[in-house]
Amino acid sequence: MDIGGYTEYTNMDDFAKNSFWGELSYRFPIQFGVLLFVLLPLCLLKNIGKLRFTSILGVGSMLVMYFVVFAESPMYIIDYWNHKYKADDPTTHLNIYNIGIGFNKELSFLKGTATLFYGFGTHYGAYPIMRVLENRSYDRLQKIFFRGILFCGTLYMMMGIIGYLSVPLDTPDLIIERYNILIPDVFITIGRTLFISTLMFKIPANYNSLRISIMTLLFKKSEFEGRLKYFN
Amino acid sequence: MSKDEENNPNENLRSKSDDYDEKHHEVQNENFIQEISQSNDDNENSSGDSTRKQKTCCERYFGPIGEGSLRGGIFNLTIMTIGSSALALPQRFGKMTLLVGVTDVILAGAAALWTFNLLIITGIKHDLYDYSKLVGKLYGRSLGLVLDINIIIYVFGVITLYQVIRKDIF
Repeated sequence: MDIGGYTEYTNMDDFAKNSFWGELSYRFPIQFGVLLFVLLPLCLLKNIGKLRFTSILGVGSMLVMYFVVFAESPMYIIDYWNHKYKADDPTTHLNIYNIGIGFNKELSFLKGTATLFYGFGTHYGAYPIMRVLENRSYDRLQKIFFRGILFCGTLYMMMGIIGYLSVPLDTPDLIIERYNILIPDVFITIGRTLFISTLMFKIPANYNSLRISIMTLLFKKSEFEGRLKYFN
Repeated sequence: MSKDEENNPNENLRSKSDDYDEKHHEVQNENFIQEISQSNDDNENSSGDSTRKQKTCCERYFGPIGEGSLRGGIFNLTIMTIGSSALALPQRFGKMTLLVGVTDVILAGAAALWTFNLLIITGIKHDLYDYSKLVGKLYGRSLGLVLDINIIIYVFGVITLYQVIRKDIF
């Protein structure tokens, strides 16, 4: 595949690391530029409701990255069944229902469970969301949390199943670091870039709760002082 | 009267009163949730007829997202929840088999939903929407302080983790 002047790099990772973009003189201003012009202004916002557009952008970026991973998965699945799967070698088989594997010396079951429960653990962010909600009521609050959890749970499940089926042998820590079938794989590079933006937009949303805790700890008050009227 | 009751009638009475307290407490909680839902419906009906008109589906799903809107809240919760752990799930699923992985996701989701529900009920009951202050009110100031320190350490660690992953991927 010819992509202009970058044909010397067969892998997009090599391109990112070894080209001029990977040099410190470029990386440093990019990192600090993001910090100064994106993260700092967003972290200064007191109301988490004002972060809704960055949240939408972050979730959208994440969905595009998921789409790239899912869309490329059939190629990986075919590659596994054609080249890696051996009927007479059980180590190359899929682990679908052999529950005993999780209870080995490494305690994989506990590690996996910890990762999953960590994935859903954002209770510190519940009250900042509750505070800014208009027409606050039990039903509306329940809707937010039910839909949010359902959305995340569905994505987790899809990513877990499809990601594992695509690379069942030597699955990498992060699925976006799986071996490349397309060379150069431009799409996953775009997906990784979008994932960086997702992580970037996660930071201000998480920081909001951190700031409230620091304020309460140091000054005994948050900026949302006073009891709020529940019914409008 | 049985032998046990004859021997220690006080203990028997105490256990009965404990049972009564628990049942009474559960009934109170259920009534409280029903009251919240009912009064909320009344509020929505009373204000909805006069001031708010019924939104169409298009307006509801594709209209502008306000600062305190439902969709804004869902997106804020989602961006806080979903993250790098999702990318590590395929490896975890492989280590503990698909069946256990799927069951775990359902269990973790149900647990999260249940605990969020508890937070909602507690927040509404005490009309207080600050985690540490609520804990301080219910369990004492020292536990509120411990929670604050925990949140600070946890979120600081999470944010640092994001920076490290961002650097690794970039």
